[in-house]
Amino acid sequence: MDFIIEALPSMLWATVATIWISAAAVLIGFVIGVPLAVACDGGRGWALVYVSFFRGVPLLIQLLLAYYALPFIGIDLPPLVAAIGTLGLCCAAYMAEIIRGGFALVPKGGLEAARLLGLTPLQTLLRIRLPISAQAMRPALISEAILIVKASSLISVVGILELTRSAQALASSTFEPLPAYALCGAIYLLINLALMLVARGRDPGRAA
Amino acid sequence: MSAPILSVRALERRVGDVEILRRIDLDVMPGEAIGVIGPSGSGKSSLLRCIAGLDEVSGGAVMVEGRQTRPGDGAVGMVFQQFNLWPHLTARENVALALKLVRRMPAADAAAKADAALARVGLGALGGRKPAALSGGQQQRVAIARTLAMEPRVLLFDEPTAALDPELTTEVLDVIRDLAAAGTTMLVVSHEMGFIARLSTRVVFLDHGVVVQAAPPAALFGAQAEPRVRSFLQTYLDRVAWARDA
Repeated sequence: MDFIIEALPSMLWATVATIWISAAAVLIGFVIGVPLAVACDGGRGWALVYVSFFRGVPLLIQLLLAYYALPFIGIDLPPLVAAIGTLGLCCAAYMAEIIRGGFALVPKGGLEAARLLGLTPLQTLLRIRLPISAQAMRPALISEAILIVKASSLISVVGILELTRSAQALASSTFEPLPAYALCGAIYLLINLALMLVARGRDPGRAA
Repeated sequence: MSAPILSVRALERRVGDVEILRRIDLDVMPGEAIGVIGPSGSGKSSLLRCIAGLDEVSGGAVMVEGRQTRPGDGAVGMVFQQFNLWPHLTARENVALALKLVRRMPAADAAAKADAALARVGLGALGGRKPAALSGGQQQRVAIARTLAMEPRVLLFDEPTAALDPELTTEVLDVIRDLAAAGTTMLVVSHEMGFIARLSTRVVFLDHGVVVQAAPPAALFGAQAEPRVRSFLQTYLDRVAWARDA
């Protein structure tokens, strides 16, 4: 009990950090993921290279590259920005694949009707394709958000004070690693359980 | 002599080695209702899709009031076999969306115009329903209202009742007939021969991408039918023969 009281303030702040960092990464991932999905469907080479790189290279290596390699070529980003950016860019690659899958479910006829009625491709994307595929994509997108919450623990390696880093600090300052990491794991679990509830609660296939 | 509202000139469409449409020429006068009939694979739907700009043409031109058409320029409206409504929007929203986004009408005006278009196809009371809560015939009428609201110069119907059972077919055909009576210029692809015969000012018979005959229905369905048209219509009559005995 004493341990919890002592740990709570720092872990609470760390929890907030993990949540907003993950949320920012997921937001970046979606905003980039949509045009990326369109570009992939259009067979754009750069989009395919992008998706292959971010899905094919371990996130930890991507983070280390952003942290060490970008300053080397003259781009000096604050560690937090580099970390959130990398997490978001990586998330975008996975989300693009999910969004492509969702787009494939939109009947071609609805898009032809939109085209004939004079809607622009952007209007068709925002008003027709995304809303029609949103229901089908939602469970997979929330799964991806859960993966990002967990993957955000990796940014502790570049010195960002989030849940995992705080638990490490707590473990070494109190010499009690087990409760520190147990608390840390429990908090991740709670965050992700909340996300799973969101995925489930609004599933129209179930009673609300 | 007035100018044609729609001119199809030497229209060709090839996909690989297959010739879908071979030098189609067709002039449509304002207010005409053109019935397009022919066997499956004869190019009926392709002709409509090329006129709408949805399919690439390999040669020739489609002009509406003297201007080459592009999809979305408002010259041509199309009603599809599968309705192609947007399932996430209500009937009213389906009709109003293009009015808002393309015509830039304020939301209230677009909704009012959508309701007027729905009333014209007999669905004034169902604007708040989503497509899934409507019958097939009602969905097709919403699709007609959606196209009408944009006031295209020429309306294309691509087998508008082929996905409907016979009872629901009637309500859709009635709407199309009313539009034709009101002077809407239209091309209708359909296998409903009786409907085409009564609706059309002229009937075009297509086979293998060629116009075999284009004539007023009395001629094409009567003694002046070309042999190929006659044999097509004969199989059709054989199929519905039981009804004539009844």
